[in-house]
Amino acid sequence: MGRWVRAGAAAIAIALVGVACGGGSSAPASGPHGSVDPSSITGTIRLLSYSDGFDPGYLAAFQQQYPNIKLETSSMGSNEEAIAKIQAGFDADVVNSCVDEATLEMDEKGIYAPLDQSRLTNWNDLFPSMQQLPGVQYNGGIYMVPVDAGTSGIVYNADVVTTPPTSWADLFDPQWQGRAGMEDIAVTAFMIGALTLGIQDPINMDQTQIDQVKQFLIDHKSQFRTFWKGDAEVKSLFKSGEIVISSGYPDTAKALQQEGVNAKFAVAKEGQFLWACGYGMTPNVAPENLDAVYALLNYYSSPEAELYEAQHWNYQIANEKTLKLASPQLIQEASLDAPFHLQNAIPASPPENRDAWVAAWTEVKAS
Amino acid sequence: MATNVAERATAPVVTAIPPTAGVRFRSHAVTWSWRAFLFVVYLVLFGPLVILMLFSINDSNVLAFPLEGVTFHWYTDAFHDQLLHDALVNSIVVACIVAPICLVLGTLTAFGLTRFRFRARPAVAGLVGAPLILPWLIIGIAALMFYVRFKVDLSLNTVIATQVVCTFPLVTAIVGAQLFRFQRVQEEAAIDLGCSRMQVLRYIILPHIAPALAASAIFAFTWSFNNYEISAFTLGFQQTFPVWVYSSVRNPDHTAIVNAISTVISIIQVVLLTVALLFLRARSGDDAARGIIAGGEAVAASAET
Repeated sequence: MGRWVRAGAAAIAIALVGVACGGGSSAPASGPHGSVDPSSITGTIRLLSYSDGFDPGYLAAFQQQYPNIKLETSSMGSNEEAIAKIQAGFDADVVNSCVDEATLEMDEKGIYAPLDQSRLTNWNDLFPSMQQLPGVQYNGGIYMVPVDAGTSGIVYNADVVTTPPTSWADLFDPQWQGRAGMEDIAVTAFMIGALTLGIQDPINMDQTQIDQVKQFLIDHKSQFRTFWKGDAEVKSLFKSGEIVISSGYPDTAKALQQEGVNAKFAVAKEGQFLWACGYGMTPNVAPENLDAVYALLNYYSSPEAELYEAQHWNYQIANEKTLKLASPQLIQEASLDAPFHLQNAIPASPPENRDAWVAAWTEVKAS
Repeated sequence: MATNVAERATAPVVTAIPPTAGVRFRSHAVTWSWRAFLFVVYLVLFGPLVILMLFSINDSNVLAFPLEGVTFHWYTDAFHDQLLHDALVNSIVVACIVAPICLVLGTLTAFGLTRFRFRARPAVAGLVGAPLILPWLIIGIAALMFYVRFKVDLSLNTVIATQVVCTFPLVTAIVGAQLFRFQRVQEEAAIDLGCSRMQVLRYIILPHIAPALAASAIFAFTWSFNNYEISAFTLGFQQTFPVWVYSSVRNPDHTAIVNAISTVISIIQVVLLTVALLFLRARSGDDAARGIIAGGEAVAASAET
């Protein structure tokens, strides 16, 4: 891992030097025209993020480019934890969030402040589908810069599941009883249940529909070996043969292939869930740190930083220009051009009555 | 002596009656039941640790059998991870400060609650014991709100302060239990024989509560070192080891590194505890060593008899 991180950092550094020498305009910068000398930008940024947001390899190029910006980092276990912490008084300048978790909630609760579009040097290069995700724009302003994304569908062991699944209903096929898996997220589980039952607009389910899905999931609970949490667990379950089909992500299948499991990823005909994460600024940024904050936001959304994410974590990208830097093989493996083909994608944004979903999911798990 | 010899000479000779097959079977059954029970207990206690150690040398970041091969590169990665280093150092520093403070505070409180009778004693005892029953998550959030309200910058200092508040009651409980069993006539006897108050403390009381103090110190250190909830909310822009672990498990590679570093920490803890027990046994005898394990109960029990 360390070798790859160093190699990735070196590749980014080389790419940045190349871009700078070629007079390209995609190098992250803080000013509206990218003309500010990076070393002249000073300040301290207090970053609250998932741990990959301050991975040393990921930020190596940023710190090399902006030597006078000090970064103080704090990790979060979930967006919910971050919101609880911030509402209790924790002070941060830049906060990481995911649209399928709490971006919109952060907008509504005033955790995010509106961003100045003229200072977001990469905004116009972002896929329009990313710009339109729930919570990215709110009340006519930009509140979050999407940085990485992915879709979720069905991961299966092709050695056992010989007919490729095409529908979420395949997770409930009786022949996989006790050998199926599902991610332990209320929104994901209820979306899958709703789509399987033919509910057309799952995000806007009323209480009757939620109860209907809840009963369906309770009736089929024995179908599932477990409700997994996190990549490490689902990979272990597949490799040990405990599950053969599950909700999951393209990079899960790819990682399993590297482990010798004949795992494949399939898109469900009812729709694939789109997750996307990014960064926003809080209203508490001191004026002297504002340039530094925009420099960081622009770095995160730069093609070079997104390329690092695609290379190391198989994340999909938000900046279209990353496609020019990525190899055809990487584009294919990490589905980097997926935002062009998101016609059937459902942005996995928390529903308005999310509490009812969470309560119902708790009942399913306790049944 | 002569009487004893005479008694022995006239006493009827008692010959051992061989146990019947039924008695032998029951005896074997009881023995094997105990062994099976112990095996299950050890399996539950140490099985996860053994699995963690196995996967720390597995040449894959997937936690599933069969193992892919033997590698030590997760250990190499762990030793080269600067964030992990910083988090570990922070946790050790915090625990090394929290444990002695709690030992002093907790012991003084235990003395106050067991030796003195005053009107507010039940209320004070309840107040001291409250952090033991309140969820740490709530304490963490409440502490964060408190620090923000009084404009105290979050740092390792706020973690230390909050952990002390939550941990010293544990010391009070352990040392207090030991002091309750202490027979004060020993103190009075020592004073009657000319000891000063300091000598009573040095030669009578401290030896009596030493195992409880040692147990308290170990518990206070490990509580502090392993604490996640309080640290997560009262820490500023730094990390402690549990916070690093919790925020890292999303990444499968980090999970493998967690296995490696946890193995190292477990081995160090076992070695330190073993050395401490051997040292104490050499200095104070088996009872004292058992007392550490049993939180002072063994010594208290032996003192009573």
